[in-house]
Amino acid sequence: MTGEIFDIKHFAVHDGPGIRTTIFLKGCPLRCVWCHNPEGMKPGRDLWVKQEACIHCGTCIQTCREQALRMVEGEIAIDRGRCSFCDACVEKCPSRAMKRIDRQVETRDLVKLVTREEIFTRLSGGGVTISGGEPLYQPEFTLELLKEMKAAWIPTCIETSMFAPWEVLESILPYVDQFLVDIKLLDEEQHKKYTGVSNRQILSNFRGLVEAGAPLLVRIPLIPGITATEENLRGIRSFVSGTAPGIPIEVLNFNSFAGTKYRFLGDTYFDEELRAFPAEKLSELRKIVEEEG
Amino acid sequence: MKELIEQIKQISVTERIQRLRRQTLEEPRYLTVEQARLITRAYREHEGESIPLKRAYALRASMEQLEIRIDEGELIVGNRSKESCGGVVFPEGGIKWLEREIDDLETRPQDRFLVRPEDRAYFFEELVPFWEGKTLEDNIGKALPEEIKACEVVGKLNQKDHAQGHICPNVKEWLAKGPAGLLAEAREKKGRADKEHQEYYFATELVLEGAVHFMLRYAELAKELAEKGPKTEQENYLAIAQVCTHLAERPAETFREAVQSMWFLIVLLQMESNASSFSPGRADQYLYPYFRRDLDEGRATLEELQELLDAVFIKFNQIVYMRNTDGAAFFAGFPIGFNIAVGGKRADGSDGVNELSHMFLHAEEHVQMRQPNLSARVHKGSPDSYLKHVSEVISLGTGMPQLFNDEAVVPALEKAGYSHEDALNYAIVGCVELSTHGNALGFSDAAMFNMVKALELTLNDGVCMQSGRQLGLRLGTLEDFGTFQELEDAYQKQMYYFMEQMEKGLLIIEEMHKKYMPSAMLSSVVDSCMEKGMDVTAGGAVYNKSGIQLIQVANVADSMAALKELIYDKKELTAGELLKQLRENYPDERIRQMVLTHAPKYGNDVDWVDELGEKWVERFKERLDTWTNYRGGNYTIGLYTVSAHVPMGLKVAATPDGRRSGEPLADGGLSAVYGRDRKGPTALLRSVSRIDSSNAANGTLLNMKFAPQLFEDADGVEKFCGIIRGFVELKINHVQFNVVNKQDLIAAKKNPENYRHLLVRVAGYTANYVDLAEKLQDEIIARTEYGGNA
Repeated sequence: MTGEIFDIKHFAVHDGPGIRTTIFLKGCPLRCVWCHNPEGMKPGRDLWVKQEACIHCGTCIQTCREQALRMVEGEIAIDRGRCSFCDACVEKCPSRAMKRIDRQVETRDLVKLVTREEIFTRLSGGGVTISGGEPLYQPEFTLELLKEMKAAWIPTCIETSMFAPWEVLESILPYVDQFLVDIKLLDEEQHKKYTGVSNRQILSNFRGLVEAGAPLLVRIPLIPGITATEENLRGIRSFVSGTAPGIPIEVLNFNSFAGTKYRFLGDTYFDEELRAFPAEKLSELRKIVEEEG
Repeated sequence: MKELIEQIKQISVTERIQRLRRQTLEEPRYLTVEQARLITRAYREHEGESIPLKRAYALRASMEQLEIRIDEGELIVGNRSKESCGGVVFPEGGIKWLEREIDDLETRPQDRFLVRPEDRAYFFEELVPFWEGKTLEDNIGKALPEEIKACEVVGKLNQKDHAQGHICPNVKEWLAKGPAGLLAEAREKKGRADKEHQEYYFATELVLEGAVHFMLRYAELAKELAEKGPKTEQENYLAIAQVCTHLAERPAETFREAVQSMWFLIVLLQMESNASSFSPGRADQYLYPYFRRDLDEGRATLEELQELLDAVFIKFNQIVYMRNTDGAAFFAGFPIGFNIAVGGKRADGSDGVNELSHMFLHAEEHVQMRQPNLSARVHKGSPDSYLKHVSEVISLGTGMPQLFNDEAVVPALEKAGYSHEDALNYAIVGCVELSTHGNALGFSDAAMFNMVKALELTLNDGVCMQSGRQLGLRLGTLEDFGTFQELEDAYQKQMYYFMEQMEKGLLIIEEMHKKYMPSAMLSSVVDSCMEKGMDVTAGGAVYNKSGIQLIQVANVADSMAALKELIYDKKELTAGELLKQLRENYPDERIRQMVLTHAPKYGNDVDWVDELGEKWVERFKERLDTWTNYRGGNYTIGLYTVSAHVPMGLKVAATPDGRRSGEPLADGGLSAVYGRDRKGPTALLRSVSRIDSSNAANGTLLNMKFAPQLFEDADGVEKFCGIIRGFVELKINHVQFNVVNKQDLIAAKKNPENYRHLLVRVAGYTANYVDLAEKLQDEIIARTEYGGNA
């Protein structure tokens, strides 16, 4: 089966147990303002300019038949309305700065790719992690991918916001060894404000997964001033503990590298000043979610 | 065992060790001519004698007369100069370079030494005139024909101004017999020897007598200090006196005696040869009986034994090797390669990890200095607890231990002609060079073959693109090669031409070593020399190899892949276009970017690219295997550069892999070109595994750099163990790790005073980062980092 991805990362060591390969599926229904994979948000064809790699030779501008490319303040800008995705600029770019983001891939090829890592995944207790974007946004593809991975004896993790109809989650249940589920904000209004959607379905799906006995690890991205408040963290902790005891929660430090990607997309990050939490503060925040109740 | 391991890990470092460590780090480094005086006097006094005897008299004089010192608090004593870290002037090897460079020693970019005015005066007034024409260096200079010297830009000949090191002596036997036991043997053999061999045994007798005296002198000094020194140290001084007296008279019995004895041997060998790398080898194996006995008989506590190991670890940092400026650039940051290998298989194939293996690892945790060069042998059956401890020590960021893979090394050594049993008992000498234990002269750093330069010459009709000089064969330029095959054929011819010149040079150099650098002390601890009555330099060892380093696989694979893909297969560029870019050092950045990004690179798990690297190692080996070295053994290949990828890169013009003229070559030996491995460490390891490690019996080198963040997660160590296990299964010889953040390296470069103690793995050895020249610092920053959050 064919699906759409935007990246594959080998030796992923922060996406579940052991050494893993993480596959990033393209497209997400949420619009988190802090999203650190902005290129994975929208489904469909897209391209971007890796500005660091660009040598400003103008080859792409000369190549483009649609006149969709211009030099703006020393950087290549893409007029996505004009672009016909003929890839002429991508092929001619000497430094490969111009790149297609979307990749159409076959499930069986992905299985092959992950199987190549077998020595490392087997010896470290790792496997594959399906991430995004939001993997449940391509439900058939994700289901098929998980099935084929399991058939190849590859341990599976899924990283999801749980924002999907319950039936989708239910369908993948038998094929997932470990769910890494995001709970970002407990307050519904806040959730709407920062992610664009309500968290009702997310929280109810969480309860559903608990009831179904799915192996769960809750993860909270620490966004300074937004999710990383004591109130929010305590709230999530008590919500999780209230649903069922013993479910672990992990905090993910803020990733300040995301800003660069917005620039590649010709966009700006919502707050360029944010930085990762220093070790001390991080362990303080970690303590909050580790405390029972 | 498990409880004992935990107990060992809990032992904390003593104040004594911390004090000794500080002292060693702070001691200024001076050039010293003291031994040169003694050697010169001995050569004068024994004017009429043969060179082997002159050498022996000179060494005995040094053992008997060099000023000695015992620092307050030292548990293990002995050095080859009164000052620790002295830069010993060693005239027998060669001092021409010092004539030119003595005034730059204090200010040169790399590995500086202070020079006292009176020593400088003595150097020019006495040493220079006396030694003119007598040194190894001078005689090699005379003996090497100009046409061979001209080819050194490709086949660089080493070992021209000092004796050969990189040897693992038979420490086990040395401990079991002691100098007195070996001396008795030499005397007995001399009595029965024919005239031809008598001289050998006489020389052995001289130096072993000297060794006995050397130990007794330390005993005397310790006794004196026991009377004069502080009361608190009296007991220790008396213990030193007793240990040294015993060692002069009989074999080692206690652990302390065994450790002291091992250290004395290293000092004496260093004193004889002033060479790089006399390696203790598998110390956790041969020291184990002494350790066990002390513990079982209640003679010492675990803590006391640990402190002795910590103490000897510090001693390894007190001998440095003063190289010329060129040499210091190639081997920057005082690598001297006192290599200790822990763990690994026993001779019967079972796992050899014991408590001492863990105590050596723990000593590294305690001491964290450049030396010894700690290596950990690993194999499929290495216990988890051992790999975990190894990983924990690696995570400290000293670059140690480096890892050697029995699954790859043992077959490589067997293929090179070592017996199965000896191969299983391998040790590492120097940085990453492989050797058997106590019975081999591997001449492991005989030459470095720059196959990237050979490629440059192939593309340009044998003409150096930097100087315009005709250096190689005239076989046409890139424009003349109609197919990739034609290009490859020309490359092979060009390569073989330079190999032939190199081989002629090697025979001459080894002959000169036999003539001018016979080494009686060393021969007494290398198996079969004593029996045959033959010096190691003459071929007395059981195994006689010569190691040639092939440099650098990654640049050749990437260059060949770019040529194949862009010129011949996809025709994105013409031969003329690219050749112009290479000759003129990439005036057009667009074309440089194309070769960088439009052709796949080694290190990304692309079979055909990796195989282009492997192919040239094979071709090189095929030719090399047809030759026999001067001592009757075979040549072996090493795939490592130490830090020579920086100076060797200086002499190579722009290359088709996108490297600009003069830029460093890839680091390590099997590493990808820095930053070009984009698919992560697992893909890199798979690429590396395609270069058949069994062809590289002289050792290989792979650098990997991990972010400290990897170890922050609770299960980070376990994930790292997964990488190690994978490395073992992929049958790669060697890997070593830097665990350091890019930001820290950048900050250390800016404010060195705040980062005095920051250690980094350069290439088979660890150095203080701030001691490195800027180019090397930048190169380490540029290496790909894995496991971070980005």
